[in-house]
Amino acid sequence: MFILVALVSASMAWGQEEVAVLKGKVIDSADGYPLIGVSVVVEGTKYGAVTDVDGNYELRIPQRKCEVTFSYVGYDDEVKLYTMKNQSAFAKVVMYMNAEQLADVVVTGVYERKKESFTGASATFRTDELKSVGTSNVLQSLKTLDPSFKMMESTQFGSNPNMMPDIEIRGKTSVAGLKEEYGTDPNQPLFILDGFETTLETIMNLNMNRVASVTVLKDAASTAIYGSKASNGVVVIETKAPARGRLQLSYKGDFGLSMADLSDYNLMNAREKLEFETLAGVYKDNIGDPFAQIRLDNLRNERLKEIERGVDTYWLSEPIRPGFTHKHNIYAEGGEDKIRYGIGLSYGNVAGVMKDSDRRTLEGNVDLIYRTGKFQFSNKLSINWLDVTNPTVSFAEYAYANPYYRKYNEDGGIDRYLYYPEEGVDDYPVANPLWNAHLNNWDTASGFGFTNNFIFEWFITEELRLRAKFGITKQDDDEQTRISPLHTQFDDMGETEKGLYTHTQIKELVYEGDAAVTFGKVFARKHTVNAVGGFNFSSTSRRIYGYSANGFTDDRFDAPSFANGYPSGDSPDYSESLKRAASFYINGGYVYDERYLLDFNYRLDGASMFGTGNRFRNTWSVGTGWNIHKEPFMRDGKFFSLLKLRGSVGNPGNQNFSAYQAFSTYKFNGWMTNVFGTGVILNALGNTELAWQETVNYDVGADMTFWGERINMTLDYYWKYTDPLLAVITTPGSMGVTSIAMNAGSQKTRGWEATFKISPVYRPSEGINWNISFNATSSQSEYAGIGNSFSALNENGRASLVGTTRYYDGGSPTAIWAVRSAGIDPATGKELFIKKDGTCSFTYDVNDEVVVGDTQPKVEGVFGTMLYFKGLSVGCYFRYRWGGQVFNSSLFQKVENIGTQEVYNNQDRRALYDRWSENNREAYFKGISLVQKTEKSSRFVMDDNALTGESFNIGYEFPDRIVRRMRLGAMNLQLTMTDVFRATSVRVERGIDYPFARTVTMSLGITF
Amino acid sequence: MYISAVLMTALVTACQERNPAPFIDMSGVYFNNTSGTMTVTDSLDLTFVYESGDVLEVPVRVQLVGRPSDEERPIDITVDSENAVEGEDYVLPSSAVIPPGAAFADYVVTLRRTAALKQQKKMIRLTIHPNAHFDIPVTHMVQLSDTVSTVDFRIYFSDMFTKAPAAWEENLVGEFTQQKFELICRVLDIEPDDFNDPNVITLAKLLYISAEMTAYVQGETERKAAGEPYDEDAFDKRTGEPLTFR
Amino acid sequence: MRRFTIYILALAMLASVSCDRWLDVKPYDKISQDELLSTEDGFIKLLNGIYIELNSDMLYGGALSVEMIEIMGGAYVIGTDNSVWGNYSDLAGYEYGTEYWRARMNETWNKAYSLILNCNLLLENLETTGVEFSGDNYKIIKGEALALRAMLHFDMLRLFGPVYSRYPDQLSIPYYKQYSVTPNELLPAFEVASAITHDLLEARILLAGDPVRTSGTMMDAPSDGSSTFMYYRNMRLNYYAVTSLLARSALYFGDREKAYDYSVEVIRDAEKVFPFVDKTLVTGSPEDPDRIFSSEVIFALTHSQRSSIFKDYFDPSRIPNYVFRMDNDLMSGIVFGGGAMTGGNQDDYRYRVNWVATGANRYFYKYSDMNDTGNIRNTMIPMIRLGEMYLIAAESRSEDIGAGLAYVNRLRSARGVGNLQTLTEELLQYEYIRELYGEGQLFFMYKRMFAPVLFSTVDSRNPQPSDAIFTVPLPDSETEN
Repeated sequence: MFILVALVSASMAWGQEEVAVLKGKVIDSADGYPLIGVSVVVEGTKYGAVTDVDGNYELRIPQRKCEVTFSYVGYDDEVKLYTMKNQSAFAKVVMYMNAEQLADVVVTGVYERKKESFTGASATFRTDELKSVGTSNVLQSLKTLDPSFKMMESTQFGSNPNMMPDIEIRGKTSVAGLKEEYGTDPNQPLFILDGFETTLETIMNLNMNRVASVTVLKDAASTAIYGSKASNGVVVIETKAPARGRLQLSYKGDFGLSMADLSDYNLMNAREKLEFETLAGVYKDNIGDPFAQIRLDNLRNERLKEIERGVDTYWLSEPIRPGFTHKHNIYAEGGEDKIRYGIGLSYGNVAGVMKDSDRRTLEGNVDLIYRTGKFQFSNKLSINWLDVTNPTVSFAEYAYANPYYRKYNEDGGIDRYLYYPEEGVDDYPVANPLWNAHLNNWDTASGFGFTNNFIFEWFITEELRLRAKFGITKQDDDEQTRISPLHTQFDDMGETEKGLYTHTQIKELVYEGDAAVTFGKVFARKHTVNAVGGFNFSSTSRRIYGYSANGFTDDRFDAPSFANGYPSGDSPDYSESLKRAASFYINGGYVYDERYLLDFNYRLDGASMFGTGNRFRNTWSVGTGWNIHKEPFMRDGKFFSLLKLRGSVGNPGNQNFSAYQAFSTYKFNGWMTNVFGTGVILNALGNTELAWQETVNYDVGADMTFWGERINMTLDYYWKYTDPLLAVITTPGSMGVTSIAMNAGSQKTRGWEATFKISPVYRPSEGINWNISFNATSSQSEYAGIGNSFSALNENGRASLVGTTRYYDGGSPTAIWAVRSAGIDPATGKELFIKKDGTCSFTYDVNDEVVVGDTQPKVEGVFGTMLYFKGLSVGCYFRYRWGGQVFNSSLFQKVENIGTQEVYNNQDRRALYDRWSENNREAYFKGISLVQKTEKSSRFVMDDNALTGESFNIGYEFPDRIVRRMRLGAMNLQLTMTDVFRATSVRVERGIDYPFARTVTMSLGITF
Repeated sequence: MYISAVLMTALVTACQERNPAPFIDMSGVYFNNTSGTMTVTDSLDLTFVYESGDVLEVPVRVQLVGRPSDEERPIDITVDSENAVEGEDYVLPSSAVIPPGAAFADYVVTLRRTAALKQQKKMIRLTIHPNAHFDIPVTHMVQLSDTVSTVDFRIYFSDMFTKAPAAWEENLVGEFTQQKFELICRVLDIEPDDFNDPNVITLAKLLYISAEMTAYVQGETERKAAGEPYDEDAFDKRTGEPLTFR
Repeated sequence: MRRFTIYILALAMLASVSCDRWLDVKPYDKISQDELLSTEDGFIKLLNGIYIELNSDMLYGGALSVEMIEIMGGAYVIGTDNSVWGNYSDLAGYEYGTEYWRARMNETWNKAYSLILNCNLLLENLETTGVEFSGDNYKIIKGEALALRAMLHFDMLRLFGPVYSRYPDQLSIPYYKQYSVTPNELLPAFEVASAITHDLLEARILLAGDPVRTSGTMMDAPSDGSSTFMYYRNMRLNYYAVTSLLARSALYFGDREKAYDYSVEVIRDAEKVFPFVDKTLVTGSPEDPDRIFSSEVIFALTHSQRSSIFKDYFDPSRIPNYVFRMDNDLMSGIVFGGGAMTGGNQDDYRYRVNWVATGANRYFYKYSDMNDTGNIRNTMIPMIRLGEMYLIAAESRSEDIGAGLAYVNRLRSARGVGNLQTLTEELLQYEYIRELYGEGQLFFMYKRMFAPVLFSTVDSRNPQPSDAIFTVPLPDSETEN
C-alpha cells in the first residue's frame, strides 16, 4: 500500500502547470459504504490518486476544464467534468455497481469472473428465477431451468421424500455397479455450498430462501478449478450475505398439498382377476386327482360368491394419504458500519403421499461479516436436525393384493392372512398388507449436525487479495428399524427368532481448508489480468457401526432390551473409511481490450484412495473466447449487446471411489486355530497400480444476446473421452482372486445443448415483461477398448430376467440389448425371433442379442413462458422427451412372465385382454400360461416420447403503497403446481415401492 | 402461449398408448409334425406289421407362419425317393394348398403295402420350397433334446419290425423276432395290434403264451423227428433250431 | 510485496512435503498389509494362516485327500441310486463336464491359487522387509513358503495337467512366482516341472538348519510356554518333507535316478526321526490302536475337527446315507487276500487296524479318533509318509522293477507280513493301495503309470487308462479371459 502512493506522487511532481488540490470521498451506491482503492484520474494527464481506507482521496488537478474519471473493478466508471468552480460536486462521489446484474458475474466458488470475460460453459440463476419455477428445493427448480442438469426419475421410489435422487450433468462417466451403500454415486456432480464441498442431502434439505444464486459449471474450463472431483460437473450454491442497514426481518412460508398420482396403475378388478386365474388354469388340477379338483372348484365358487356379493376391494387407497407440507423460514439481518449479521431459523415438515412417510428438518444459521480496514472476517454457522420416518409396508404389497379379498372380516377386525391353504395343500399363503401395516413396526432415522465455515480475507491492495477459508462439518445419523414378531415374514421361524430390530449409526466428520491469493488488474485499460493461486486440503472420515437383534415375543414391547438374542451367525457390522485429499491450484484469465479472452487452470491433486504408485495427479484446462460484440465494427451497432464465441479443453478427474481399493487387507481365518496359534489370510487384494479415471472434455459454445436484450441464446457442443474407465472386472481363478478393481476400456460421449429465451414484450422500467424460453439437449456415448474384461457383468445381465445393459466395445451405456422379435405368430401363437444373421427361429438364443434401442432420448428439454405484469407473474413450464426407447419391464413381468407364485398377485389389466387364442390371432401377447417363460425381446422395447407439465405458477408482489400501509417492507404471494400432467407413449408402472405425487404449493414471503 | 399450446397438442397425439409391435407381415410355411410329447420330429418310421389293411394314410402337417388369408394358397412340396416308386409304393394327394382361413394343412400321403417291404425298408422325402405365396422363414427347430429340420420330412416304411411292441416282455417270452411274433399270432389267433397295448397282452397272458408256444414247438419237433409233416415256422429260418419262448 | 510472495512460497513447499505422509491413510477396521507384516509375528501368523487354509474341504480337508480324488482313484465302491450317491456316480464315470463337478473343480482350483497368492505375498514382503527375525526363523519361513507354493502347483499339475509321461510339452497350468495384476499364461508341463523342482531345491537349502534333523519331530509343546513355532515339526513342511516331495515329484517327472537318491536319503536319515510304528501301539492295543501310524508321518496337516472326516465319509452309522468303503471282493481277493499272488494277507497290520467289520462289510477306520481325544494324533491328516519313500525307492532303483524288491520287503516286514518273491508293476500297485489308501495318492499313481484304475476284481469294470479320464479340464475362468 505504501509503495503505490509513493509512485503516484512522484509522477505528479513533473507537471509545471498551475495545480490545485481536490479532496472528496467515494461511496458505494448500494449500501453507502466507502470504496477503498478507487482510482481517480484526470483525463489526458498523469495526475491520479487512489481512495484510502476511508474512501477519501486528494487529487492534484490542473486549473482548467478537464474530466475526472473514477474507476473501480465491478463498478461503472464515473466521469465528472471539473470546471474549477464545482469543487463541492467532488466532495461526495457515488459509484454504482456494474449495470449487469449478479447473473452476469460467474460465481465459481473459488473466484468470481464477469461473464463476458469467462470462457467456460456455465449457467447462473438468481434466487427469484429459481423460486419462480418451484419452491420445494433448489435442485427441483434447477432441473427445469437448465437442460444439462438431469434429475433421474426413479420408477421404484417415486416421490419418496427420504430417497435422494440420482443426478447427472451431461451423462454418465462411470460403469454401473460401483455405487457404495453409504458412499457417493460415482456419476454424481460435485456440490459446493459457500465455497465448501457439501453433500447432496444437505442441498436437498437447504431452505430455498437462503439461496442467493446457483451456478452450474459444465465443461472443463469451468470445472477444472476443482480438479480431481469435477469430472461429473459442479453445482455452486451461494447463500445470501446479510445486507447492511437497519435490522430487517423477513418471513417466508410454503404450504403444499400433494396427492398420489396413480394414473399409471392399470390393475384388474375382482371379476377380471378371477377370470384371468381361471383361464390360467389355477383352478384346474393338472394331475387329474378328483379330490383336489373338488377343492379347487370350492375355492373358485367361494371367490365367485364374494364377487357376486359385490366385493371389489380397491387396495391402493389404503396406504396413501394427502401429504400436507409446510416450511417456514425467518431471517433477521442488519448491520452498521463495520459489522453485518444475519440470524435465520427454518423449519420444514414434508409429508409424503404414503402414511408414516415424513421428513422434518430444523435448521438454525448465523452469518457474521466483520470488516475493518483491509481485513474482512466472515463466519457462517448452520446447525441442523433431521427426523425421518418411512412406511414399513411397501406400496407394491398393496398393488399385489387381490381385489376379491375383503379388507376387514365380518366383525371389522383385520385377518392375518387373506388366504391360507388348508392342511396338506402345498399352496402359497397370501399375507394381508393391512395386518402387517397395523403392527408396531417402524423405520425411522434422525440426524444432527453442524457446519461452520470461516473465511478470512485480506485486501492487501486493490489488485491483490488473500483469502483463507476453513470449514468443518460434523454429521451424526442414527437409523433404527423394527419389524414386529407378528409380521407374516417370521411365520416359519422358531419362536425365539421372530421380530427384528436393527440399529445403525453413521458418524461423519469432514473438514476442509483453503488458502488462496487473488490478483486482478487492468493494465493501460487494455489488458485485464486475473489470477488465483491456492492450496486446499480436505479430510472425510466416516464410521458406520450397527447391530441387529431378534427374538422379540410381543408386538408392543419393542425396546432392544426385549430381544433375546442375535440372528444366528450374524456379527455386528463396523466399517470405517478415511479419505484425505490435498491439492495446489492456479487459475489465470487474460482479456485483451475486452475482446480476446484466455483462461487456463492447473491443479495438482493428491488423494489417499489411490495407490502409492500414482497418488498425485494433475488436471489442467485451457479456454479461449472472442467477444465479437466488442469489436469496433460491432461496437456502434446496438443490435448485439452480447455475441461471444468460446471454446475449452481440459481433463478434470473423478474421485468418488471407495476408500481402500489400493490396499491389500487381511483377516483372521476364524474357523480354526491349531497348535501354532491363530492364522491370518488375505481378505482383499489391493491394486497398487490403480490409476485415476481420466476424462478429457472438449467444449465449443456461443452466447448471444441481441435485439435490445430481448433475445438471448446459448449454444454448446461438447465431446468427452473417459480413458481408462475404472471398474471391477473378472480375473482367471489362477490369479488368486476372482475379481479386481482395474482400469479398463474407455468411453466417448458427444452431445449438444441449446437454450433460447425471447421476450416479445420487454419493458422492465414499467415492470412488464413477457418471455418464452426453450431449451434442448441430446447426447450419445460409446464404450471402446473393453474387450471382454466386463464379461461377468454381461453374464449376470443375460441371466437376470430384465437385465438389458451390456458392456461391449462400440455399445453405449444406455443401449438396450435384446433379441429381435418378429412378434407373435398368428398361426401358432408362438413368438418368432430374428437371429443375428437375419434368419428366423422359434427358439430363443441369448447370443442373438443386438442393440434394439437406447434409453437416451434423441432430444429432451423444457419449454415454457413467464409473464410479469406490474408485480403479477404467471408462468408454466413443460418438459418434453423424444426419440428414446424403454424396455417396458412392467408389461414384460406383469403380463407374460406370471409364474405359479405371481399369479396370486393382482396383475395389469392387459394380462387378460389381447391374449392370443384361436379366434384372437392378431393379439399382442402370447396365450395365457403359467408355465411358459418369455425371454427379453425387442417386442417389449417401445418408443418413450413424453410431455409432462412440470410446473405452473402464479405469483403477486404487493405494491409499495399497500405494503407501507401495513407497515411491512415487502410482501409476495405465490401458487405453484408441479408434475401437473404426464402424456407418455408408454404406460409403464411407475412408483412401485412408493407412488409419484402431484403437489400444489402456496408460498408467502413478507419482509418487515 | 399460442405456440406452446399447438406444440402440446401435437405431442400428446403423437404418443397414444403403445402396445408391443404386431406381427410383421410375412407368410411362410414349414413342417410342424409333433410326436406324442409335443416335440417336433422330421422323420417317421412306420410299419405295416400291425396293419390289417394294405394301405396307410400318413398326414404330414404343414404349418403356416403369419396371417391366415381368406383365399386358397398353394404350397410347393416335392417328393422324391431312391427306393420307392410313386403310384406303386406311395400315392400323393392331388393338390397341396393351405385352405382359406386355415393356419395349417395336412398333406396326406398314402403308402401301399408291397411284398418287397418284408425285406426292404423304403424311404420317401418331402421338401418344401418357397413360391409366390410363401417363403421359408424357419429352416429348423432347436429343441432341448435335438435340432430337427422343418423343411424336409422323411417317411420310412416297411413291413418289418422296427422295434418290439410295447407289451412284449423279453424275460417272459424270450428275445423278440418277427418269426416268433407271427407264429404266436397265427397259432393262438391273436390280433398283431393287441401287442401294442400292455393292458390287452398282460403279463399273465404272456406266461400263458410262453407255455403254449413251448408245448407247440415241442410237439412240432417230435413230429419232425418222427418224419411226419411239421410246421417249418416253428423252427428258426436261419439256424433251423426250434424257437424258444423262455 | 516481495517479502510477502516469499512467505507464500515457503508455506507451499512445507505443505507439499508433509502432504505425502498425510495422504498415507491406513484402514482401521481391517488389517492392512504394512501393519501386519511390520513384525515377525505377522509373518508367522500369515504362514500359519496358509497351513490352516490347506485344511479347507476344497483342498486337503476333503476333496484332495479322502473324497473327490479318492473316488477318481477307484478307492470306493459307488452305488447307482443317485438319491443316495448324488453326483458321486458321475465322478465315478469321470464325467467332469457336469455342472456340479465343473463348479467343484473350479472351487478347488481357485482355493489352491488363492493360497499360492498368499505364499507369493509372504515371499515378496520377506524380500523387502526390514524386520529382524530371531534365530533361523527367516530361512525357515521362506523355505516353508517356497515349499508350500511348489506343493500346491505340483498337485494342480497332477490334477489338471496332462499325463506327464506321454505329453510333457503340452500346455498345462500357469506358474505364479509373484503377485501380478495381469494373468500369467499356461506353461508347458515340463516348464512347470522345472519351476517346482527349482522351488523345492531352494527350500531344501533354506531348511538345512531345520531342528527336525537334530532333535526330531518334538511332538510336545515347550515346557516354558514360549512360542511353539519351531516345535511339532512334522506338522510343517520340514526338511525331510521337502526331500520327500522332491522324490515324489522326480518320480512323477520320470527322473528315476533323482527319485531314488532322494527317497533313499530320507529312508537313511529318517530312520531315527520317523521310525516305523511301534508294534505294541498297533496290535498290542487292539481297542485303541494308533491307526494313522503317526510316528511314520513325515508331514501332516493338523485339522482340529478331523473327526468330521470320519463322520462325513466313512462312519458305518451313516447308512442308509452313502459310506465310502473298499469293494469287498477287491479287499478279500486282492488287496488283503490272494496270498503270494498279490502279496495281500489278512494279518497285515494295516488290515487289522484300519478295516473294522460291521455286518457283512468292512469299514475304513483310519480317520477315527483315538480315545485320548486331546491327543494331537487325532488332528493329523497325513500328506507324506515314510512308507511311500520305500515304494518310490523300490520303483526307481533300476530300469527293471524287480531290483527294488528289498525295499518292498523291508516295508512289508514292518507291517507284520512275509516277503514277496518277485516284484512287478501290478504288485507294486497293490502295495501302494495297502499303504496309501485314503490319502489322495492313488489317482496320481495310476495317471503316472498310465495304468487301468483298480475299481473292482471284474476287469471289464475297471476304467482303461485314457487322457480323457486322467486329465481334468481347466476351469472356464482360465480359458475365457
